[in-house]
Amino acid sequence: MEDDHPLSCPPPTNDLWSNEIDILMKAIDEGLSGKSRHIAIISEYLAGKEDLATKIECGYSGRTARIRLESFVDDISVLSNLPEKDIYIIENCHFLAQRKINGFHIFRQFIDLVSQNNQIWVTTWNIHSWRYLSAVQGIGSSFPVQIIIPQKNYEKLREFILSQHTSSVFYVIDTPVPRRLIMVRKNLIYEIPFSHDTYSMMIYSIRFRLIWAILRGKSHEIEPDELIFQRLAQISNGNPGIALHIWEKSLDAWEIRMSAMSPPSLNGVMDPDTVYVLSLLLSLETVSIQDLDSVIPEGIYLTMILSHLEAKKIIHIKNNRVSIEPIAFAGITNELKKIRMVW
Amino acid sequence: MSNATTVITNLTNTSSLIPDNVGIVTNATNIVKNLTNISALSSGITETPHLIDVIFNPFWIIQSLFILIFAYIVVWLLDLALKILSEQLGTKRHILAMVIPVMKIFLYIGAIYLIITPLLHLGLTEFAVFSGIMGAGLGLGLKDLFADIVAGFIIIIEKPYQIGDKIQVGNDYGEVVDIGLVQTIIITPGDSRVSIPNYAAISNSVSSANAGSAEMMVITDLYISYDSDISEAIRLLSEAVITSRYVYVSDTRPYTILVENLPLFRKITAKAYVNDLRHEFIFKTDITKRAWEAYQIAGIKAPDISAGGYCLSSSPLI
Repeated sequence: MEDDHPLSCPPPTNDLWSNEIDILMKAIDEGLSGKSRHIAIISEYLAGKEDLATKIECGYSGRTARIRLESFVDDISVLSNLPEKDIYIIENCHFLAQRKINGFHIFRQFIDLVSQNNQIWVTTWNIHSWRYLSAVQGIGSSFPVQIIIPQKNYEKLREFILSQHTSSVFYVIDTPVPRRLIMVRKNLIYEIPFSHDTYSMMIYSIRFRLIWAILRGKSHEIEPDELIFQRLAQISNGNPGIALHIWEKSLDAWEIRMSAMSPPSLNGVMDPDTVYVLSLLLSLETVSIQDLDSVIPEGIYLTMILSHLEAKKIIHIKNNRVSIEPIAFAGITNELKKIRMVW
Repeated sequence: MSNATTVITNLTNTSSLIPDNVGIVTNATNIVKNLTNISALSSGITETPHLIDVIFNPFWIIQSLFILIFAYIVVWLLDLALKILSEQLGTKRHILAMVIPVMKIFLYIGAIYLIITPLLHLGLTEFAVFSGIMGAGLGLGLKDLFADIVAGFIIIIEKPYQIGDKIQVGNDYGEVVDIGLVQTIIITPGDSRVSIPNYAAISNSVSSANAGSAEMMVITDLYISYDSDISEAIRLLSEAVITSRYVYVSDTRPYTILVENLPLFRKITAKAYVNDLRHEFIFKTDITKRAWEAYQIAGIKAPDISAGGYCLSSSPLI
């Protein structure tokens, strides 16, 4: 658990989450005026829920108490004895439930605590844990305001990443362009007539110029920066935090190469035991080996699996804590969704 | 006038052939030839090929064989490719797999069409005769085969099951791996390959456990003694279900725990969906194993089967 951290407020110009921030602030204002407005901020690993929590802390300075859970909670008093504040921000609430028999009692106590409390509870959850808990424990009804942080398209990612780097960057296409880049995913947003609602739809468009360039063997001549950012959007699943990590790791001084953005192969790691460990890592984001071991069923050799995954550069272990390598994140998520190991 | 004379001559020839015992094949050939002549004369067509000439034409035979072999190879290759592709889709594999039998039917229909095209150039009467001969053949020896083919069409159109479904037909239970023109092939849990004639599959009741989805309901029964804490047993079993790595729960795929009081013990049943029907048995084992481990820690006991039957050793019957 961590509750003493330096507060650094994001610049007001950063509008990557402007829609989400608007909904959040509106819900908090309604909550402060007396309505029950417990909030769940839901996203993938590194996708921005921490930024939204920080935004609330900055916006309502002095009226918030913030706790970041870093491991499984075994005593609810950590949350029930918080100092008297208007808004409680509890991060990483997926650590309240353990996916094992007798692993839900703290989670149920927390739901009771939230339901009986007049303060505003702003909670952040990993999206896979949230979906799991919604299905098996009906958590959605306890949090009337749910903000799911959406994936961003490559234009947004580009804008976000370049806002973090002011120096010039050279883009180099030094490997054959992945064929998958001929399809570009775009997020179209329509405003529904006579209502204030919007409907967003993911579409794929084909880049005929790139197809023609690939056929002529001249794909490197097609706007290298565009190809680099599209590749980045692809291997990050539109997740800004993941994209930024990959960018920073791939950036070599002032140059970024396509070859530096190659996700590790998942061959040999899709056996049922490894897949389950990966699904837990996707759901818990960053977790200590001891915590991971406590939810692993008997018969799974965790140490062996972790060392195998680390050798393949799919996970990294630092200070006895495990998390998925950002560059492997999208591939693992897509594979695990395909076989329904995460929902 | 001369045409009418020829018709009469041909009819006379036809009637004169009937009592003749030269050989049934020769007679049939002559009958067909004469009938062809009659139809050609009556319709004013100058010349159409004889049915026998077409059927026994070596070129037609070789061409037909080539078409059949080619169709078989194309079907086999496409079948393999679609199966590999569908496996890449994980739990969505059924979507692509359902195309396979349709593709097979269309390709085989195309092949048959190409084979019989020369016959379609025959006169109407000849074709009627050919159909009659085919009908007789079907009636005598190919009845079952024809019934299976028609049943194959019905299976593809009506979809009582699809490739990838787990079905029970009679005593056979397993995953459908192929729906052919004539038979459906399933792989049983014991890894045996069972061929079920399509006609048998539609004429008997067929139960499909998943009906085109990857998930399927798995029912797990546990038996506990009457002196065990039933509420705790239900809670532990539900947690064994929802924490299984093979479970799939959604609004439309909920899980249920049922309790039934039987004379000598209680039966607790967990009904839950497995995320992929291929994990059916391992899911059931996982629930049973972990639930019983939790029961033992919680002091929940199985019925005592001492004294030669199910009876309780420590508590009266309720």
